[in-house]
Amino acid sequence: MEARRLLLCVLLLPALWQSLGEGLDPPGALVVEKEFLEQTAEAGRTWRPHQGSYHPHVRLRRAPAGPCQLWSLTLRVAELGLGYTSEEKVLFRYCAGSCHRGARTQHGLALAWLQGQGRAHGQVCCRPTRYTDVAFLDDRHHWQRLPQLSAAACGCGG
Amino acid sequence: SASSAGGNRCVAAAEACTADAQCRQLRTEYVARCLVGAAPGDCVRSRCRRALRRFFARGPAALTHPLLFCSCADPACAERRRQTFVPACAFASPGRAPPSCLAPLERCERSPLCRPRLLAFQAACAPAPGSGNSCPQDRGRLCLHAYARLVGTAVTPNYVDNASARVAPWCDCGASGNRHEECEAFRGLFIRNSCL
Repeated sequence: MEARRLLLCVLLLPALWQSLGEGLDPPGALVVEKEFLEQTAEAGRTWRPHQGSYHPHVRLRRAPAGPCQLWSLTLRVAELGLGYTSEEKVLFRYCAGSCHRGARTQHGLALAWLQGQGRAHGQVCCRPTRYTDVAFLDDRHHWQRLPQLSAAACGCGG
Repeated sequence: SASSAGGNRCVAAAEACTADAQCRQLRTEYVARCLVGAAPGDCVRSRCRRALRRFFARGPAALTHPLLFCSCADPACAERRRQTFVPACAFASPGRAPPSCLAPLERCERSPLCRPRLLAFQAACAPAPGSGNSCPQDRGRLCLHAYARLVGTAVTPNYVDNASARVAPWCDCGASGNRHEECEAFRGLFIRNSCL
């Protein structure tokens, strides 16, 4: 997970210096497979696959338009990829977006400055600042609780 | 994608609760409180029950009640319904025999929290006078509401199996001695109640 996040931040770096401060997709944005849907920049909009065209391998652009914000997905439990199965659907929230406006913490501010000077690796990233638990009854009718699974708030930090 | 609930109304109720921020949070909280500990019997029952009372008190009834009162046509659905409020903690003590019904009854009568709720339940779910055993027309919803308020008290009731919709508190009347009738009358409030 950490490697992927770092990769994402490194890929966004050219966008930061080439664009005029807007969250545009750089030419080299990672688009892994053919897209079925475009993300919108509406804050916090729940994204659902279109009825009838649902494809299990649909991929979003890796670099979303818009500032760092909280996104929501309603998923079957199996789709979390953690090995649980349940008939229930759960809400999974995560953070994504650009951090052009910079960090809000001391660490993030200092890091952004140093990165700008080329003295530190990587890039200030959009990440969760708070998490919440997710609970459900699994297929064998046992309760499962996944602590701190879903993001509750986002921020730009290191 | 097609609804995964299919015909399972209890799953649909769970998803409706998950979709609402308040219901989702309260539900996650009671599961967290009731699952504490390595073995199912390790939980702190009082904390679990308190979180359950909070769930039914603060959660919107339109979302919390269907979790408890979903109708079922198959054992899988009924088992889910039976597990709704983590009964291994809040309801039964696994590995131990159920006590006589007189025990939770007495605890309830002494409790300033439980007693009024039990009285309200008896009033709301009483059969109409002179109508035999049938439930008065306007009582159904009130009775269910009063029943939901018993969840998390000393006389917490639950579905007794996954084959029927019968409910009862965690107790029986085997060891009630000469107060057997009293015990059966109390248990009958739940088992032989046409309003439930």
